[in-house]
Amino acid sequence: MVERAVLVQGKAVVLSFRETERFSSEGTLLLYAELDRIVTHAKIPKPISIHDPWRRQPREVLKQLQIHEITGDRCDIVPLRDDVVHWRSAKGKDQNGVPSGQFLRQALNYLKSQSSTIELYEGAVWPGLNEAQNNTIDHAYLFARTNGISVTNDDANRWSMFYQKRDGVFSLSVCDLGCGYSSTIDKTMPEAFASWLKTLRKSECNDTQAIKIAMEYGRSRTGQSERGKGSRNALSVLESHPGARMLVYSNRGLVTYTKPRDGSELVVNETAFKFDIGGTIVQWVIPLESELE
Amino acid sequence: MQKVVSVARDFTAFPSGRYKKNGPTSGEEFRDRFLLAPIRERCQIVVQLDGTIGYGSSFLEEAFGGLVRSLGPESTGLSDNLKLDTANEVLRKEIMGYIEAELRKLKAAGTI
Repeated sequence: MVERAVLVQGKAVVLSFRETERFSSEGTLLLYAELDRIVTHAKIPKPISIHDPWRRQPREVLKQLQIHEITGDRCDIVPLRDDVVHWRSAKGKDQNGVPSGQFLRQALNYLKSQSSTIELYEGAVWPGLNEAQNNTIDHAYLFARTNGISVTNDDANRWSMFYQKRDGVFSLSVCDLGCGYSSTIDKTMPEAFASWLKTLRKSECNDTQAIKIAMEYGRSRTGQSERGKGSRNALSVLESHPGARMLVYSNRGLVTYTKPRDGSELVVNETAFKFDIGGTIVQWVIPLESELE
Repeated sequence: MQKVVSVARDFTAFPSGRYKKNGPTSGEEFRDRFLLAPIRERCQIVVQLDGTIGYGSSFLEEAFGGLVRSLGPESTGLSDNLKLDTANEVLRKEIMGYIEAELRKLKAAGTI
């Protein structure tokens, strides 16, 4: 709705968070990505203004994530709360590994400063994070989003990242506002497309099936045999982190992969939403051993 | 003659992506800047892999599997001239898997 108002109708929009009580990490990452996309592509001055929440905690969240810097609003609050100051965000528009790599290092250095026994390895996390980021460039923006609004210029292929440490759990998320797995699966893995069509008859949600196929096949859109372990890289993060989960949201679908602590096979759960998030989020949720003991 | 290239020191600590169009830290960029010419000149090249944040498969496949594709018939002797220096055996095996897969294709096609 906001995107259409600004990018299609050329109207400035005011978003009021006055009554907001809390922000979830996934929802806030989507908000962050949406605002970044809209402001980047808007052709009008100051397309979005925000009214801050009355409550301090959600106001601190907006400040901590530099939402005001995206919209050009001012907020003088200094984040202090422990459930806020560990949120970090980053955004970019290509696969240059430097900003996302520095972002991951920042996250892990922070965690190491908190505990010397944290079971988290950058060498295991980076391939998954990096391939999820790659997906935003190679596949996500091949077609318009599900709301039909397409942007085509050098700034189109944008990604956003979040990390957060709270209650003994580290979560790291990467988001794009592209067309989703279900729109590209026939291009990315044509040999799987036929079997996907068969599953649709039994499935309630195209998006969950498309996510699962992407994770299981991990093929690229060129169909070349040497290509495409990317999605498996994302999933392999779990192999080195028992107790961890990976959540993949794409449009109306959510597939959750959980690595049991006993090291047994991944547990897969799928959920179909009534609403469409209009993009893809890959999130790893990793328990920090030292804090669970 | 032997050349030594450290990915972390000479290229980037954050290798990422497959093609040059994807950004300056891609596997194609690394291959073209550091691997192709020395191998063509029959130099021995030692690639030090440790010290980076990690490697995605897109980067590795394009850098090393793509090296065989780029060399084509000149790939003979590659295993003698390319040395991988890493403490990570899984990483070494992954790279060798990409190289061997491409060599098998060339052999099957009668190119080498």
